[in-house]
Amino acid sequence: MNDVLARTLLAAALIALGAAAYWAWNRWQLRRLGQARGTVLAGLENTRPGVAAVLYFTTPDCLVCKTAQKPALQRLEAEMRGGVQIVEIDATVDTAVADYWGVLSVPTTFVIDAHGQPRSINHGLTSKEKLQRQLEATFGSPAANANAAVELESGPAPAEPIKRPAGSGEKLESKS
Amino acid sequence: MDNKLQKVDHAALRVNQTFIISLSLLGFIFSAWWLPAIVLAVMAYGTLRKQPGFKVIYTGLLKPRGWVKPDVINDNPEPHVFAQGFGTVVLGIAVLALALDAGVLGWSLVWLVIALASLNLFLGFCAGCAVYYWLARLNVPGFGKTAPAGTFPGMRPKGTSGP
Repeated sequence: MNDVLARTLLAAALIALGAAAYWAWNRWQLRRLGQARGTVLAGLENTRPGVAAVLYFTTPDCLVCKTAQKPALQRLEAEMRGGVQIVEIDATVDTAVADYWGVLSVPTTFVIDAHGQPRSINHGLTSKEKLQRQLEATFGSPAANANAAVELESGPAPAEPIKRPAGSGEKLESKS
Repeated sequence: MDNKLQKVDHAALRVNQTFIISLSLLGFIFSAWWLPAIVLAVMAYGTLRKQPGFKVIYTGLLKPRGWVKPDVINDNPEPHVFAQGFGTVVLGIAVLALALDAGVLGWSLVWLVIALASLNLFLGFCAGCAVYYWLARLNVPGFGKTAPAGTFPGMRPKGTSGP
């Protein structure tokens, strides 16, 4: 019995090590993307400034994107009433943008704060609640709060997510 | 070099990896070497049939009941078969080591298989596929496929809306 317990603990430790490596890798990704502070990151050129965003990578073949991720994002957008904008990117068309963001699989979502800085990465299907929590965490700064409040007062956001025109992601240099 | 892609159901691959990881992990926890041996037999069978070893669970149970949805994308099936074969060899050595009472070596190799399957399942990187594409670049006979366009060798293709 003690042997089973010891092995279970060892397995848990190894799994935790793997999870920690995964977490560190995600933080590194965010840090890498965040180094372009003060510039507009590739894929976010058409977003409204001062409003948090969810950058959503999908593909035409991704079934779970259609059946679960997109509806979750639509619900999120409707509930936050202009406090968030959804940017949908087809990773098969904007491959350069997908590579720039380090997208490995779809769906992948990035939570972007009101200053245009990436704050969270989600690989795989992510619930509306989780995205909402991640977005609310970005409202911590007073500036972001004010922007979100202004958006909430100014009425609902566009019903359709922002879709990038095909091929527009080829130019990856960040714009000032 | 051959660039012709085929439809590959990545949901079946993920089910396969899930079972490889789960059974190997349980084998380690309960010190039951026969569990990795079962995984080895299933993987060997799958490699010979050129399909994911645990595919029958996906096609016979999970898919018909809608518990796992198909995820068909344009990809090369050969690197995945090679990766499974590669895993079979590693697990084969592991089971042999366990049978010969070389526990540290045996379980270390089992953990290597778990780690590589996890890398594929959770991050979409197939190490065996990367080795396949690397061998193809070296023009090794029998390794004729190149990675799908725009995909880093070994990474899961982001999906293509091909014919």
